[in-house]
Amino acid sequence: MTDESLMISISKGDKRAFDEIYSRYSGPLLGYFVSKLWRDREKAEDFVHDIFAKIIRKPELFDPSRKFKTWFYSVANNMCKNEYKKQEVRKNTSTGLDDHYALTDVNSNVMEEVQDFQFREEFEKSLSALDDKHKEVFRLRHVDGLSIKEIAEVTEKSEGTVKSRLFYATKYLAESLKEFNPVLNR
Amino acid sequence: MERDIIDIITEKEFIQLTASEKTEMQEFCKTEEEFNQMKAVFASINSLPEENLTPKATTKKDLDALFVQTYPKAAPIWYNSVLTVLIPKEKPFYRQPLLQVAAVALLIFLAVPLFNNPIGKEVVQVAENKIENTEQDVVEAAEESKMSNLEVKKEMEEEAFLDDNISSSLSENESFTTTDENSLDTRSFFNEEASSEPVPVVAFMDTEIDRADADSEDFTHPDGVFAGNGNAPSSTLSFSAAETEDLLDLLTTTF
Repeated sequence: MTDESLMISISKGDKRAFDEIYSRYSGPLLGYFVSKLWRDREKAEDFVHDIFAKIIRKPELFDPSRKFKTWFYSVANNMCKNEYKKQEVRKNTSTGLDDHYALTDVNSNVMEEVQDFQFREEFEKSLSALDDKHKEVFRLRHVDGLSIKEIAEVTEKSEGTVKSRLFYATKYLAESLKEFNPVLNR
Repeated sequence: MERDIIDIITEKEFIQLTASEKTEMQEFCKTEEEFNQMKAVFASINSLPEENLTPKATTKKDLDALFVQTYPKAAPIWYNSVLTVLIPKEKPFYRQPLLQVAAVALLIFLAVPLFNNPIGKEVVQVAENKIENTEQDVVEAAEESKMSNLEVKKEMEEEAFLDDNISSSLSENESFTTTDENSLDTRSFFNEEASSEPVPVVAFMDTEIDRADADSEDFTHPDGVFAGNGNAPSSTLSFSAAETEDLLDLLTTTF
């Protein structure tokens, strides 16, 4: 069953359809939110809850003519943008303590969980060193599996811009991970 | 997912690139070395074990509760699916399967009694039987009437023949002989009885019947049993001795 038809079923109160959509997207979305929200797992959990609550409360917001995956990531992206704005306001009114430093500590904890995979650790480090716009595009393409066209739709940028950001990120990662060069060394 | 430039880099070697692909690639990786470097990065990313992040169970529980709260009257799923099939919202009401099934059921309900009506059946059968019966009756009645006419004629002829024989024989031989000592004078008895009510009396008549008459086919009393008055054929009783065993015994002892 396609995501789009599942959404139509959800709007009719079909609980099984909701469970199916949840099983398909809860994991990838959590990863997306974790990467976009300074690796704050708790916040990412809240965001996952909020985005699925939107689906339950207002399923009619989904336009069946659009691809669900693209629409869903667009909503997730907008939620992150709103969060950035909130953080910006809080930063300006805070006592000077940068919240993101605290979150960076959380980031390091997450990285410890994957320390057995040395390459992965290095990759994550290199990726997190990228600025958000490059990181986001790279993640959407290689982790969430969206095409350049879909990424352009989600991020509301042109395909050329997405391509450019994507190749910049790839070149940067290739340079950072040069010492591993896993494929070429095989 | 649509195929894009990343897929081209992942799937193809640099020498396999077409002219248009090389032109497109020129913007991002000018040399073969840069191309291979990108290819290696993509391959290593794809070979990374998937990051299996799973939301907390409480998140799902909260969402389930919210779902139940939002759709409180939502029927069970099987019921929903049945309704979806029987009453699809996208079809006009006259094309909905439930209405169509109901219409067919109504037609059957109305049509079955027409075929199962016992009165109608009886009427048809009676009409058919009547025709057959009347035809048969007419034929049978005609046959019976023919038979009865013939029988009546035959009987009348027989009676007439017997009367003639008896009267002639009686006139020739007036004497009655009884076979029993206690036998009655039948002649006087019959003379007496002729004037009164006819009483069925059985008697034996020892008459000399003409042998030629007895041999004839029309002669009905071969054993010579006779009862009644010979002069009054209407009061005469006669029957075959073979029909009554007692008489047959008597006759046997007599003769």
